[in-house]
This record gives sequence, structure tokens and C-alpha cells, in this order.
Amino acid sequence: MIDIAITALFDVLSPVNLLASLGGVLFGLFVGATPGLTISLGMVLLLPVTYSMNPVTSISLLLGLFISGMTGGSISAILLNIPGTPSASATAIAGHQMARRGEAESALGTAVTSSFFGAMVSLAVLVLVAPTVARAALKFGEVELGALVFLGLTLICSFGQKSMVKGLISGAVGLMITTVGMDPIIGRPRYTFGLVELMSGISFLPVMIGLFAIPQILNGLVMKSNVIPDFKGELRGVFSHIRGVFKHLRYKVVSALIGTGVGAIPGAGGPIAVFLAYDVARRMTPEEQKKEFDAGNEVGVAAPEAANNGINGGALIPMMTLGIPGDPVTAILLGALMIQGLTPGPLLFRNDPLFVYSVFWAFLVGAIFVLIVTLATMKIWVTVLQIPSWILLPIISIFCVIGTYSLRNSFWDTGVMLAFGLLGFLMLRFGFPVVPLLLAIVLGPAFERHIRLSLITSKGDPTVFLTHPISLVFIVIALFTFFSPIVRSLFKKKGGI
Amino acid sequence: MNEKRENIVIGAILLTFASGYAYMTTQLPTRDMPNTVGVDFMPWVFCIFLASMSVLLIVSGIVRRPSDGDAPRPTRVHLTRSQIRGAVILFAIFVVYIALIDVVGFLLVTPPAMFALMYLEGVRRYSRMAVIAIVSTLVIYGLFRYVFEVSIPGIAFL
Repeated sequence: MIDIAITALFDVLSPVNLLASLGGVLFGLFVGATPGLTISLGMVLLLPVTYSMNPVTSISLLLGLFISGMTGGSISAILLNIPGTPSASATAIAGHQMARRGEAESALGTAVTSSFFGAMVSLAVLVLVAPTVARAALKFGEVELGALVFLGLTLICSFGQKSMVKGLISGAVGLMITTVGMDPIIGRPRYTFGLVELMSGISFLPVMIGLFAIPQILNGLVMKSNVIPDFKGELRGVFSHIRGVFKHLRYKVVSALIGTGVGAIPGAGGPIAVFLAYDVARRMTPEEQKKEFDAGNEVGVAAPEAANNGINGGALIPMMTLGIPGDPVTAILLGALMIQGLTPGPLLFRNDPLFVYSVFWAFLVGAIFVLIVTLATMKIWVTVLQIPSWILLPIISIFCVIGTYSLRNSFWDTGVMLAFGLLGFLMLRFGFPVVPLLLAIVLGPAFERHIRLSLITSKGDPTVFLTHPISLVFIVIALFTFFSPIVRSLFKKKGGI
Repeated sequence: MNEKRENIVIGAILLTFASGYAYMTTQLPTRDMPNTVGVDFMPWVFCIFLASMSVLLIVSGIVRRPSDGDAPRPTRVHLTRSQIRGAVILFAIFVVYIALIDVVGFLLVTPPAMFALMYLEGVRRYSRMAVIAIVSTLVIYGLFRYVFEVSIPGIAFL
């Protein structure tokens, strides 16, 4: 195993992969720091670029973006009080207060070093936990895998949605979309209307770009919702803060573990983790220092930032070991790996351990790049915040069109992207969440395959999902997740809870 | 339209969609092997699930107490008439742009499209807009054509 790990390390350290990682980090800082752009959007914009790359180069690029995007989000949160990513919202509370007091450098330095610390803790947990989970999951048969995907879908559709019914409708539509094309068991065409383009189904990429990028372009160009205030202060040397990686250690360890734990739960979402970490850090603060904490201090920045990047490694655990993405970003990452012909899940650990180790190393390299590059180039990102959206958004629009075209050198996919952009806009307008739809599209084919193969082997007996103990546990958790908000709201109405 | 009525209308549209999908599902071949499920099994499951949720959405719209209608509506985004018009124009620009790339070529059709998008955002500094549109087009073309080796039609008739 050690020789595989060393081979993977050398692969990740090859100049091309280092360059890819650095490119991903720079692009991630750009999208993370720019309010109005998201990590998901950054990922979908980079996906077309990854087609011609080998899997390790591709994952180095995307992981670099993933990690740095989270860190970049805190730059605008601290300087402008506009979180670049939803997970940076808690950082804005203390960070912006510090910036207003003229302590922007200290806040940014703390944010970057805490992000690095959080990423390191989550990587350690990923490396320790993932192989064990994958080994356990290898014992799963079709029945258990079917129930597991069902659980993943239920968690994602139910958690964090303002309306559960709308979340479930969104998921159902996503699942229906996956039935277009050849069926996954016997290869019969379904709902293709005789169109050759639909035979292989609807590709992830145009759907992802359509759902994420078009509504955002619309948001910026038409609704003009991203009016960004200027940062008036001045930044000098942020790099010296690199020594602060181990400062406020106990807060960072606890917060990073919170981030990793919450990140590992599909559908739980980053904002939950960062606010939880912020709250726990406040409780951990001695009574005499609470006033200082509430006024905004380094601990108030360190805790949410450590949790923020702790999410990264945590989110990779279910994605890598079970093939269940926990959020839109890991869903896109999963899609990127599938485009490369890799299927994340327990079999990946058995069949392609070299790639698994490459992911671990690429994560480490990405995190180190983020620490050094962000601190060294902080002044540049402050300038990036000032790029007007009327320049940025038209360029992104063209990237979306060409990116989808490059999938198969066909404008069919560009049309699909536009259609899903319209769908995404309508969903936004009428309050339907897009995340369940995206995740259902990613998980749908596996869901159908596992369920149908289970039923074929059990000769059509549906009780097979209840007679297998692990499957039963997954189904009970899924049903609990599904019904608990309904029961809770009924109790609330009656004044019970 | 308030959210209550909106939910009823959307529920009805989704129910119609589910019915259409159900009709197409009836056209699929049924099970191929005895005692097992065929290609139409999962589509039926998804279809029934969507139909049930749509009914639930309609019912939630009908049985909602009148006081609920006055409450803030957190799930949807309110758009003004001009924003809806802007969205329609944006989609129109996209449709025309995509339709023309193949016919005219990326290099000729992209600068006007970018210019139109900038104009849509309300910018009126025409010379700056033109320079940015042309330079960005050339950079994006060069990047995809020569670095990523995507065969974008540069100028279609050349």
C-alpha cells in the first residue's frame, strides 16, 4: 500500500498536476472572492477544460478550486461584509467588525490559516475514515446500495429546503429526467422521441451549467443584485500571519471536526456547520472574553473558517466511499469523475487505489497552495473584488456556451444548457430548490440500476429491502428524515413542541 | 398572483406533466422476464411520486388558512415586470447567439452578443464595451481553439 501511496504522490507532484492544482486554486480564489460567483459555477465552468486531462490532473484542478473557493469566500465576507460563499456567512460576523476597526489584515490572516488548519484536520479524517467506510461498503449488495442511494436522495431532498414538498418535486423531476435514453439494465430506449441525441440520455454538464450559471447570470445582469461596495481600507503584509496556523488551537480543532462531521452528512450544508462552530466557539470562550468575542475577534473568525474548510474533507467521505454527493459541489465533482470514466464508491478503493491516494495527495497539495498563494496575493484579490459585473457576466455567458459546445462539438448540448437555464430560472422564481434536481440527475441512474437488479434477483419481491438488516436501517433513517419535519410541524401547530 | 394560487397552478401543471409522462410510459415495453420488473418500473414509481407531490402542492394551496396568505413568502423570488422583460430578452439573446454561431461563426457573432449583454445590464460606455467584447472574444476563442483544441467554427464561411 505504501508503494501505491508514494507512486500517487509522485504523480500529483508532476509539473502538469502541480500547475493544474495551482490553476484551480487561483480560479477558486477568484470565484470565491467575487460576490455573485459560486464554487459550483466555477466547477461547471472548468468541467469542459477537464475532458482532455487525465483523471489525476482533472481532480488536482477541481480540488484546488474546491478548497480555495471556500477560503476565497471569506475575503469578501471580511472586507465587504458580503460572503463570497454561503459558508462564509459566519466569518462575516466577526471578520467584518475587525476590518471596520482597521484589523482587516489580522482577520484575513486568521481566516486563511484557520481554513488551512480546517482542511488539514478534515483531510486526516478523510484518510483515516474513508478506507474503513469503503471496506464496509464493499460488503453491500445491490439491495443495500439501492437503499443507500434512496437514503441519500431523501436526505438531500428533505434537508435545508424551505418547502419539503417543493424539494421532493424537484428531486422527482430530476429522477424522471434520468429515465431519458437507454435504460441501464437491458439498453431499451425510453422517451427519446426518435432523436439520436437523446439515446445516451441527458448529459450532466449542460444540465449543471444551465441550472447554476444561467440563473446567476440572470441574477447579475437583469436583477442587478450584486452591487458591490468598494473596500476603502489598505492592506500591507498578510503573509506574516502564516505563523498563526496553530493559534487558537482548541477552537480550531473543535470547529474543524464540526465542519468535517456536518460536511459528511449528505444535504446538511456548509452554513449549518459554520454557524454551529461559531456558536460552540462562543460557548467555549471564557465569560470575561465574551464581550470581545461579540465585538469581533480572531476566535470569531478562526472557528467558522476552520469549520468552513473542514467541510471539504467531510463532504468527500460519502462521495468517495459511497458515491453519494452531499452538496452541489461534490455532485459536480462526482459528475467530473464519471466523465473521466471513474465511478466513485467502494469499488473505487478496491479497483483504483492509486487514484484514491492521488485524491488525498491532491487535496493536501491544494490546501498548501491555498495557504501560501492566498496570503502572498491578498492584495490582488482585493482588486478582483472591484471587477464590474458587466465585464464578468458576459464573459461567463460565452464560457457557458462554448463549454457545453465542447462536450461533443455540438450545439445540441448548448440548447439543453439553455433549456435547463430556463428551468433553473423558473424554479428560482417559484421557490423550487435546484439542488435536489441536480443530485437526482447524478444519482438517478445508480438508483434505478440498484433497485431493479435487487428486484430482479429477488424475483420481484419488494420486501427484500426490509429483510436485509443494513438496507432496513437505511430505509428507517430515510423514512425518519422524511417524516420528522412533518411530525414536528404538526406538533408545533398544536403547541406541543 | 399570490403564492397560494401559484402553488395550485404549478401543481396542476406538474400533474399534467406527470400524466403526459405516464402516457409515454404506457408505450414502453412491459416486463421481459417473469416475476421481475421491466424498463417501465422506475418511470412508474417516479411518475406516481411526482403526481402525489403535485396533489399535495395543490392541496396545500387550497387548505392554507387565509392568514397564511398574508405571511411573508420565503420560498419564491419576486420579480418586477421590467426584470421579467429583461430575463426574456436575455434568453432571446442566448437563443439568437446559439443559432447564429453555427451559421456565421464564433468570431463574428460573439462580440455583438457580448455587447448586447453589457447593454442589457445598463452600461452605455460604447467604445469600452466594444473593446472588451472584441478582446474577450479573441481570448476565449484562442483559449478553446488552441489550448483546449475545441473545433469552434471561427468564421463559418471562410
